[in-house]
Formats: sequence, C-alpha cells, structure tokens
Amino acid sequence: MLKSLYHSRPLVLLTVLGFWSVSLIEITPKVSEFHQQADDLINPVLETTSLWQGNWDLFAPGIDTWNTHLECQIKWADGSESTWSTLDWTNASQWQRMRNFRRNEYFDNMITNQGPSLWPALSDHIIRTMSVTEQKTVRWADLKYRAETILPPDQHWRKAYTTPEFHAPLQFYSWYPHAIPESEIMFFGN
Amino acid sequence: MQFLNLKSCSSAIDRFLLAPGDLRILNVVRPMFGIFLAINLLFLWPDRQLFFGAEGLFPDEIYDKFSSASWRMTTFVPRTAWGVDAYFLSLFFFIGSLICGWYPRCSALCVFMLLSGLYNSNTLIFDGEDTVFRLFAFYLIFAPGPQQIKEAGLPGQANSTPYPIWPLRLFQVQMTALMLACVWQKLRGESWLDGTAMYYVFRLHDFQKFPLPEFITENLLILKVMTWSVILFEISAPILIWFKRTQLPAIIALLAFHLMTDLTMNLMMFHWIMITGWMSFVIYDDFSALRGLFWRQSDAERNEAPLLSANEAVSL
Repeated sequence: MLKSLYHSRPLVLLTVLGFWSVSLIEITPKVSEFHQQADDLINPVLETTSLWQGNWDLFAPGIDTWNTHLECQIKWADGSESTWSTLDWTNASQWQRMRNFRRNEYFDNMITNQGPSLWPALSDHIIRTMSVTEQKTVRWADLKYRAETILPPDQHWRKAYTTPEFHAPLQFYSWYPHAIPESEIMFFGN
Repeated sequence: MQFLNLKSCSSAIDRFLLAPGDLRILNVVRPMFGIFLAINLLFLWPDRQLFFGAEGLFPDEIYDKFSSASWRMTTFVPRTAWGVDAYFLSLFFFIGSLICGWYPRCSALCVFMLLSGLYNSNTLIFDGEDTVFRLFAFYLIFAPGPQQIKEAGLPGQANSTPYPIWPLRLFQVQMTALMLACVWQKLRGESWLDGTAMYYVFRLHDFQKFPLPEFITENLLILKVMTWSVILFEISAPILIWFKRTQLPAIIALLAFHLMTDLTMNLMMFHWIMITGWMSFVIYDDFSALRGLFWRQSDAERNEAPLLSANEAVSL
C-alpha cells in the first residue's frame, strides 16, 4: 500500500515539483515586486510546517568585518570588582571553540535590535553564577562590549590570526538589585 | 510541435523522478546524518537548560519573542529541567534508531518533529547547518529503509520492483539549489567581487580553526585568487556533478573543498552535513568498492547482484 504511493505519478509530481517550486521562490534573491509578494505568501506556510530554508546568505552578500567581545563588570557589596567575559577566541583551544560555538551565536545578538530584550536575563545569569563562585553579594553590574572593525586591506593591513585590536569597552546595560535606593544608583551611575 | 515539446518535457520529468532507482546509498546517508546530528546536539547538551529551560537565558517573559509560532518544545513538554532533559533524550533516542535503521521512516519523522521543535524554541542560536539538518530529517521520512530497499530489488534485476528515484532526488536537488543560492548571494556582495572576502574571513577571530601558512593569509593576490576560486567552484561543482563524465571528479573536489574549509574554519558540523548531502550523488557500487579497500566485506555484500546500469540510475 505504502509502496504504491511512491509510484503514484500525480501524487509525486504534485508534491515534489510543488515543494521545489515553493523552495525556489524562497531561496532565490528577490528580483521583482511579484517575486517578493509570492515569497510573502508562501512564507507563513513554510514557517508553520518548519520547511523554510531562508535564502542561504552564508558569508554573503556582505561578509562580517568586525570582531566583538562582551564583558560584565561586577561590583560587589564589599567594594571589590570581578569581570566576566566571553571567550578569548584567538587563544582558545579547538575544544573551547567547538564548545562555545552556540554561545557565540547567542552573544552575536547582544548588539542588535533584539539585544535589549536579552540583556536582563543575561545579566541575571552572570550574576547568579558569579555570586555562587565568589560567595559575595552583588551591588552593581555593567554589561560592556568591545569591537574591532576590520578595515579594507588597502586602508589598513591587519595580520591574520592575531588578537583583535579592540576599542575601549562601551557600556550598554547596567544591572542593579531593586533594593538599592535611587540616590545610590545615581552615585554608582556617575 | 508544442505538444511534442510538452510531451518530451513530461517524459524527462518522469525519467528524472519516477525511473526505478538504486537507493542503496540512502543506507549510507541515513547513518551519516544521524551521527553528525548526534555530535552537533552533544555540544548543545551541556547548555540545554541555559538555552531552553525557563531558568536560563530565555525566561518566560521573552520566550515567545524568540521562539517560532510553529510547534516547539513546549508543544510536547513543559519548560522544566526534567522536561528539557526528556526532550533531548527523546531526540537522541530517535537519532539512535535512525542510525540503526530501526523503523527508519518513523524515526525520521520523530527526529524531524523534535528537531524542528527544538529549533523553533530558540531562533537565536541556530544557523545554516541546522537548516540543512532539519531539511534532511524531512527528506529521510520518504527514504525507504534498508530492508525495504533490499526486498524491492535493484533496477535491472529479474523479478525486482525497485523504488522510484525521487527520494534520492530530494537530497540531490537540495544540495544543488543550496550551493547555487549561496553563490548567487555571493555575487551580490562587493567583497566577493573585489576579491577581498577571504582577507576578512581569516581575520574573524571566532571562525578561525587551524591556521593557514602566512604566505597565503598575508598575500592579497593569493587571497583574491582564493575568493574568486570559491565563486567559480560553487558555480561549477553543483552543475558538473549531474553529468556522468564529470560526476566523480566533482564529488572528489567537493569532498576536498569541504574538508579543507572545515580544517581552516570553525563552522561546527556544517561541512560534515554538506558532505553527507553530496554523498547522495555517489553510486553505491563505487562506495562499496572503496569501502572494500579498507574493510573486509561480508559474504552477503559480495554476493549482491550487480546492477545493469547503476550510473544511469543516478546521473542525468
């Protein structure tokens, strides 16, 4: 019974050719208004069925030209400070690189439009983990990022496989426990 | 005349999809897919609570924002610690049964459902390789199992009723479309056209793996030649692989390309799942002969009836 379905010409042609046509609309760069409209029409169906595949823009059309590094500076109740940071990729082992691959996908979203929704949960996680490790009470934490823009080779030749020349850290989010009074927040903020 | 053209077109489509096919290579593709998917997910296992649990980086307040509207983990289990563990263990179980060829189509269906649910539960941490894994899981739902393929027999054998070729075509067309879509996107990019793309690739710290010699990475002319070679290769290889004369060289070149890129770039299992996809173009008898050089074949394998035209079953 099942095997006869494999040989059913109308069924195979309809489903296979139909699926390929829809996929072709989805994966090719949108060349016209009509193409875009067709893509908008099929996208909800592909997303609902989990059969979407995007447009395969792997390292294209533009390639990333920056390296980033996240840090979290934590100030403890006793006045001391600790720093948490993402992996030092240049000096990481192959195992660490594989192990941190998914985390890197997540961290890549921090400085995008989606970032602000993620900051509180990331800060909570870092503080929770560090508080257990350090056995201290947190007063304040700052999320910061460092970046390096790789300039075109004719403007500045950057040697491969060397540690990025990051700019000074830029603070993008501050975490504090709700118990801290407003005056103290201003104090730390300044 | 138009009628004749339509007729010949229809006949070509029938030959392309419905001709009896040698699907034995799917018995190689299936376990390869399962093994690479298992490795991929094992790296995610230590962070499962972090990325999927309610106590991790995606608390309930933002879970909906970063998950898809389709089915997801919470369709099957709650976001508790044991729920996440149970979900991953179920997925590993079905991947295991897929590798072993135990109810392969049902296993593939379960892997597809659970894998899609996982990807739909956190849209931020998955990328191109995961899309390939998900699509291959879907295609494997239609791939007859080893026992069914054996019972049906092979094209050209007496008293055989082989399966049509289209379950294999799903993989082959996907791989071709994927690579051509990639190169189309590259041709729209300035750095690919001016030849500087590879200069940037070797300077992105998170993608580095085993370093290439300095005379390559510090020479702009060589980097430009490499960049344009990638484009030329990605245009030609997925086309040449369809022709009988150029199929084997194209497969070898693709294998070398993916292995070399995997050695120099940290892209997790991307190149391994791509190699799995290109395996769908390999003729099973060739694979079997190659395997025989390294492993002693069993009597049953040696006594398998030869095909009349294995090449015609796969190539255009």
